[in-house]
Amino acid sequence: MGDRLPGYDEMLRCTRCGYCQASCPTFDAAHDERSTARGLIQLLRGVTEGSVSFGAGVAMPLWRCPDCRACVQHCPGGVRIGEILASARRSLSATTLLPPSLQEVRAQIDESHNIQGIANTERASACVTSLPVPADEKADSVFWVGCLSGLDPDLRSIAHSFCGILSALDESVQLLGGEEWCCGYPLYTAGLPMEELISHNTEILRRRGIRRLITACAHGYHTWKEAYPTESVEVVHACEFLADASDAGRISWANLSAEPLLVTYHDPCDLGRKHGIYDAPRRVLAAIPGVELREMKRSRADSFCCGGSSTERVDLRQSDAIAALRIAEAESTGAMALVTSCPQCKRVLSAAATRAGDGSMS
Amino acid sequence: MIATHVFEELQRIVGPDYVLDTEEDLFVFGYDASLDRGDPDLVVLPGSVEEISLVMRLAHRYRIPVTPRGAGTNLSGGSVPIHGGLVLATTRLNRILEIDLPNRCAVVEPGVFNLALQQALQPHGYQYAPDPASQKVSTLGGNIGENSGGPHCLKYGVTLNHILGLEAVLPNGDVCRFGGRSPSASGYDMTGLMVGSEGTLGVFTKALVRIVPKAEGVRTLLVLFDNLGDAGRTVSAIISAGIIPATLEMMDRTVIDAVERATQAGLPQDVAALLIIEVDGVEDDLDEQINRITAVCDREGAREVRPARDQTERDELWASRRGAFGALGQLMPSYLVLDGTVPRTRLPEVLEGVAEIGERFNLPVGNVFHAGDGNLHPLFLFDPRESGIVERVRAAGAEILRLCTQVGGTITGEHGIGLEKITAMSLIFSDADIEAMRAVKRALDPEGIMNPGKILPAHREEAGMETPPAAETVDDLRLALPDVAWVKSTDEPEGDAANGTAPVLVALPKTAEQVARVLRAIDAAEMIAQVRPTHARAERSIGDTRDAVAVDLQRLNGILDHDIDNLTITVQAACTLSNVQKAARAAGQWLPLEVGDPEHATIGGILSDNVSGPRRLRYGTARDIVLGMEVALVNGEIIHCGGRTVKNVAGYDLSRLFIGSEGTLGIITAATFRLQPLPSAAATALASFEAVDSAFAYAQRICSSTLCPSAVQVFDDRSDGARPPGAAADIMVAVLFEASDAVVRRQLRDTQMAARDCGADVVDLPHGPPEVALWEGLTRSGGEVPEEEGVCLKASLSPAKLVEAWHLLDGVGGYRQACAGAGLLVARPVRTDGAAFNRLGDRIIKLGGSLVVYREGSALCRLEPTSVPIENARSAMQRIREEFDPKRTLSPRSCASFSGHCEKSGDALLAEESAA
Repeated sequence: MGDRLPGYDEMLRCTRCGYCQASCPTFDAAHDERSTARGLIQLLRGVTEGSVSFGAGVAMPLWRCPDCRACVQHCPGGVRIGEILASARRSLSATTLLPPSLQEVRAQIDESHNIQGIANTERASACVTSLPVPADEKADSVFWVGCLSGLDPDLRSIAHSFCGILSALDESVQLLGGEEWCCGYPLYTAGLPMEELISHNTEILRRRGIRRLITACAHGYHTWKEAYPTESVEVVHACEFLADASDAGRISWANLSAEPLLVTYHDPCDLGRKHGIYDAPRRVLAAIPGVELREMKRSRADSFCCGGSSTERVDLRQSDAIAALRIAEAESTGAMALVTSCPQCKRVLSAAATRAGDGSMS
Repeated sequence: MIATHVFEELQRIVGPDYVLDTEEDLFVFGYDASLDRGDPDLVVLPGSVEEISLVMRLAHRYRIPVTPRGAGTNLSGGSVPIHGGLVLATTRLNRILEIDLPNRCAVVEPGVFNLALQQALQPHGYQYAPDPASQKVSTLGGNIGENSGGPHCLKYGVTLNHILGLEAVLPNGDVCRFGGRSPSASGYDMTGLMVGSEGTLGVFTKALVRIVPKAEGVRTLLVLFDNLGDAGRTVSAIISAGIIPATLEMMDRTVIDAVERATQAGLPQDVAALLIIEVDGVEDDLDEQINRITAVCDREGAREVRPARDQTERDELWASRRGAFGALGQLMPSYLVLDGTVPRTRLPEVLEGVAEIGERFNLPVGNVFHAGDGNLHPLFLFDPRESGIVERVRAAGAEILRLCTQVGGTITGEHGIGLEKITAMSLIFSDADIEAMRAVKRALDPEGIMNPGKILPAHREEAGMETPPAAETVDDLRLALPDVAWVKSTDEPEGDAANGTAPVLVALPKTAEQVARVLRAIDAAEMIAQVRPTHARAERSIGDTRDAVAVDLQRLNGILDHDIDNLTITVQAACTLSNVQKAARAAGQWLPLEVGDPEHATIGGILSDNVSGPRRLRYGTARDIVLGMEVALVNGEIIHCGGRTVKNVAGYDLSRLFIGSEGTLGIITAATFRLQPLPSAAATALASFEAVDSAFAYAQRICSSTLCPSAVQVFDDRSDGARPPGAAADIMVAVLFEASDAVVRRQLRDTQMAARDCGADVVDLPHGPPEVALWEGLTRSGGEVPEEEGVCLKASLSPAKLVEAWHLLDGVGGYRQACAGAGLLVARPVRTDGAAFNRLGDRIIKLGGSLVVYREGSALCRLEPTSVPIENARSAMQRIREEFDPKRTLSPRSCASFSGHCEKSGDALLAEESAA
């Protein structure tokens, strides 16, 4: 017997029916049996049973998997695929098999507390023009800016616009500035340790008396919900906040010019499949005058990954191929705009739409 | 191990990215959804037919085993590379190349997912009927290789019934084309042979699949039972009541429990079994069908009959059925699924037997299966960590297969033999049967490189039949077989000495065994066997001086078995069609075969010539209704192909090969058919048109509608006997409907409205004798003509090209009739000469069709398209014939052009003209 991987009993429950290939982005993009759930589980089983060596040939497909969990949705046996893969990644994280790109992001987070490796104090600046500065320190809510919408120049508009909305709604929130550290998503999905981040971020929230965390980042939402102890903090995604505000009549959409606009909505895996947030963004879209939503062939629980996640760092070519498939699907709806609730989905899909070329969709 | 230069050559052929050789890649291409696994030396992922051909040529040259693979979801180990070599995955060939609505077919590559085709057809209102539970992920190439079934196959038939043609690469690298859009390509039904051959005969590279309009309406019932036996009896009772639902699926308590844990679909947990019954078709009839089914269920003790309220409920039911196998992972880590098929009347006792075997082996067993087809899927659940468990599970599985065969069933209905059931082959096939399959394998894969180790058990010890000395004279023959009745042909009233085909001796065997012995003796004596009364095609080729001996089957004219409740019948070769129909009709059933002269036409003759009539549109041809066959071969063996169950994928489907083989491979001595319940009502919509084009436009419209016609014939009014009273215009279209009264009336109404739309006069045709006379006339005029009146021309084309072909035949005279849905066109009686025939044939070929001239029911010459893939296909057929009849003892001058003895083009006619 080789290394006895945790989750072996669960691996035995895979009957190799192959149904997990149905919506597997890595399979669709590369026809690579190794990167499907069935392939990975069989390989890991082989590792445990001693018939496969635990080397790069197992590790790379494992890192390449974007953890979109479409396979979980399609597995009739209810095999806990996510757990099997996560524990396998954890077993690999301390080895030399960790891809350089993941080592690099780990180093950056260690050093600067964000994924970009730049000054962490920059975080608040995206919001500065929209929020009264300093933000209300007595508020019991925090706007969790996130590394992407806080520090990525192309995505800062997300934090900026959302703060504008908060401000217009007189919603008091705290901003943590440089005290907000990366939530740890890239480490979490790669199975790397992130205790330091968790304890720091949790402590800050405790110290600031935060009861509610609002974020526009789907990765952040997922990480907080799944990896953090959140008994004392309610985690809210921006789209949920907007949907509630809109339903409560706090947003007067009527002032918007009702230009007809056909849109389609991409469910981020981190919000949809992982946390069941399907209706909130659609409630917002339904409230905007002139906007008509046309669903893609695969939506909601069947949504197809954008190619983002941490997998992008590991295999850019594959990520691009997945994104191209998703963009083609979006374009086939005839929509003029693709709407999503995740900065990473936005970035990856925007780039893919530009590459796809005709620029008809924004 | 693969040599380095072969590896490099493979990389050159498919590109370096598509030759996989890492440990992990080889590992994940070594399994399928069965319990077996193997280790390939390399995985290749070719991107085109050319690449596949080159890969196969290379493998052939170096004798490297090749295991074709689709999505690897099959359940019998068929895609497990047990002998190493190459795994050749066709997943990159995943385009839908064409959706041809006018001809109701689509051209797909093998890597297309079944569901992807369904989704592409959806907007057009069409579907591809076979729907294996794995349809989301299984590829069409794999479906075809396994002859996949699925819930809806009960009504619509299995994959075989939906494959019109194939492009395949043979083990030697030859690209072949089999079948096509026009219905009757010459030669053997290679498509029928390849479907279900589990990747052991070639690699599919394109498929031409039949598509059908989606049914107008559908109703789904969930029926709950407190007792498993009641559920089994209900299935049998529904079928024997002559109701054929679209699906009739069963799940037992174990499976319901697993599914419920996986999906929380809300299935009741306290029942012993449930049935999912679906009916579809013309809306008007569905409620009536549901009522009849409900009455049967109530009578047989169902606890509750629960109709699905809406599409969501329906989808949930089906999702739970489709996910059932995988859901068993909720209960136990692993399972072995069996796939035996039994006559439906035997279901209750077989289910009891399954439970008993489970108890005896101390294994939990679940059942989820296609009950309407009698296709069981007992699943033994186990934990592979328990020592010795796999052996115990396999032993229990073997018991189940034995049980199925004991009640007249077979060992696999849709999952295939693969690796898993090889040892069970001997339960249903004799050595001779398997040897005949080996002959086919040898013909196409002499080196044995194509998916080796599957389907066929390892070679038996050559027992060697004792070879008696060959007879040298006809008298020797008689002496050698004294128990057979012989007649000197001079004793016969009508010796046909004039054309040199008169037999010198006639054998009158009483049994199939005698037929086989006679055949072997004739073969050994280097004479020609002339079979009667089934076919008259034993003329010698020019230069052939062998004596002919007639084998007269007239004593083999009995009905051997009629399983009324299972709707099957087994008859001997010389039984006439009318006698079969008489027996069937007495039980409220009929055999959907039609010939012009049912009083004289024998079953053997109909099958070997593959005769069909107008109603083939709905019921298909012989290949679609034959379940099994008994055949005598020239080597003296009697083989059995198929069986008595409605689904059967065990071994090669040799019966497809014999159907339409014009007696060139063996003598059919008996056959088993699937019967149809007699329709409770029938009506004909008759319309007359002034313009040919509008008549065909109308016919096309009907064929493409959601209506369900049994026949759509276009004919001109010079018919002999088919001319209806009061017909004035030139072109008539008759559309036949057979169903319940309400449905017939509704369809008649719609059809007549469509006819008026297309500018026709609707002709009033009284029910009863005039209607019967019309269809008998139409069936008759598709057949023979007396020699003195001329010959008969038959063109076969894609349905959409019929109208052009009709115009091409304007000048030939005679009476014309087209089977509009199928693509057949007949003109008769016609007088033609060789040159005219060649000219006409060339034009028909330009339309993608073929043209045959028949004299007295025998094909005389044939013109058809040719190309390298078609020639390759002919050569493959040739090799099969070599295996079965190396001396050409049987039908030596059959016009099946592959035989090499057919006078191609109009040469035969020209030769006669010059002789005159």
